[in-house]
Amino acid sequence: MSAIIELFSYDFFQKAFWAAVFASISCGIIGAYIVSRRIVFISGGITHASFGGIGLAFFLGFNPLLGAVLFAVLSALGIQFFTRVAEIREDSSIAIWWSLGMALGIIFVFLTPGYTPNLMSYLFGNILTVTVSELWWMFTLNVVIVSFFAVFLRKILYIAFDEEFARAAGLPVALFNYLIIVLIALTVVLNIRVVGIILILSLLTIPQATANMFTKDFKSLLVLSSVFAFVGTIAGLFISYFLNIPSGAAIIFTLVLIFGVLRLVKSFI
Amino acid sequence: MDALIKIENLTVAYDKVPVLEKVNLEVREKDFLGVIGPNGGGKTTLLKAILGLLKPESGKITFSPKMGGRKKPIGYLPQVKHIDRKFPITVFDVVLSGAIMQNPNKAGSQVKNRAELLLEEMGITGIRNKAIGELSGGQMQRVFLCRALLSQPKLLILDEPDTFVDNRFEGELYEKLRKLNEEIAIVLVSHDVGTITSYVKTIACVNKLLHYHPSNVISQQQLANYNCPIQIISHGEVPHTVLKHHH
Repeated sequence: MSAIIELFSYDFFQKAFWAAVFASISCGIIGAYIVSRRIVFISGGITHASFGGIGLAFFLGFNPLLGAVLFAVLSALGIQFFTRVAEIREDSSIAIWWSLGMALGIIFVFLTPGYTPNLMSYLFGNILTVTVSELWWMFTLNVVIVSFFAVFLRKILYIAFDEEFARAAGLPVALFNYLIIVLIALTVVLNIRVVGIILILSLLTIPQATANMFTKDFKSLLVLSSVFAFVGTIAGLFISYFLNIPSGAAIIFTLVLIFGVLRLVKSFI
Repeated sequence: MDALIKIENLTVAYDKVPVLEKVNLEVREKDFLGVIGPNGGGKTTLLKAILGLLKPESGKITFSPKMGGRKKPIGYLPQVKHIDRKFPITVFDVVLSGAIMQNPNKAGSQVKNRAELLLEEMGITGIRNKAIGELSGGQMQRVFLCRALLSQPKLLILDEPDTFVDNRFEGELYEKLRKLNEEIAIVLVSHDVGTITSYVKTIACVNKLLHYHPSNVISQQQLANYNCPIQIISHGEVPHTVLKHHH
């Protein structure tokens, strides 16, 4: 116990703690929406496409997160455009953007002279190296997401559940869809530092699957998903520290473990 | 009587291929119109055009001021197969979504009371907090009927409300519609011609073109003339208006 308290006196651990809090809230809420609407695959596409932006940033020498945001938002809008306007099948347009982003990333990194030391932390995340300015960005995103969902909860729910009915009733469905896809892109990118590009889908789906065992109400699902995300992230953080294993992988392992155990327990009651 | 909705020369196309061509139709107050036709004949397309979900290629749809112009909600009951049954939403929230533009939590809002009343009328108050995925076909249909009625529409549009529903509820549903029809107009799409002809007042056959038939008695011969290739099946339990004999 004292070891845990001692941990909190370290500056890097305090930052990791706040990163866990912010990641849990944003991924909990956005993930619950993604899972409910069955757009997990779109989110995977956006996430991986953002790697292209990270590569570009390394190559040109600017902030990799900025590059990631650019590519994430572009691919999010690109997927929508391909599907709606160019009438390419949705799963195919997702795959196109997914692989294009990754390919561009690899090309840019290859062209960048010298060794790119941080690449691994973008691919697999490292919550222990989060910086203060990144925390501020995450905090701002949390404020935006929580306010947006608080103000428009019912409209978001109604559109997600039955888009056609919402359109017939005169809701600006397309506007909401674009706004939320941008929020998804931002959530993915700003949480890349926590679990990494390859693993971020876990924070958007596993806590939600766990929460969904206990509630079928949309609003409760948003809250409960954030709670499970937080428990898993913090527990994973400790495991990572004490066993000295990579934090991103430890967090995901914990999230799956919580899901598995609760699922087993539930099937026996 | 004034038309609630007037459709003039409506053509709707997907990828330039017309699904509906030069359709004319009026829906008046307290009409009960049955829309029949073969699969792919444009029944659902007609409904979607009325609901404003599809842009017509040409022609126009006008709404009477009695409907409150274009913004006034039309009660709409979609095909249940389009509903994601695993979606985390409770019955009560589904019903509340019928008044989509109103905030049910606002002080003085009548929406929640009206929703409770509708649930009671349909006899489904007991399942109010259940998840949508836990319901039977008949219960689902009732929930969506509550949602369609919450906005107090002057016109109710139903798209194949009798699929996935057991026979007993089907009868109840049509009785309910007959009662609602004392107050509001109803447009009902169905593939089950035999059953609907005993409830509707008029019939529209849609197969790219629309043929209006101003009564609820329709013969196989007339259907053939309308180029509406569907079979009329008479159900044993519905003796009254099935079909006249033609020789």
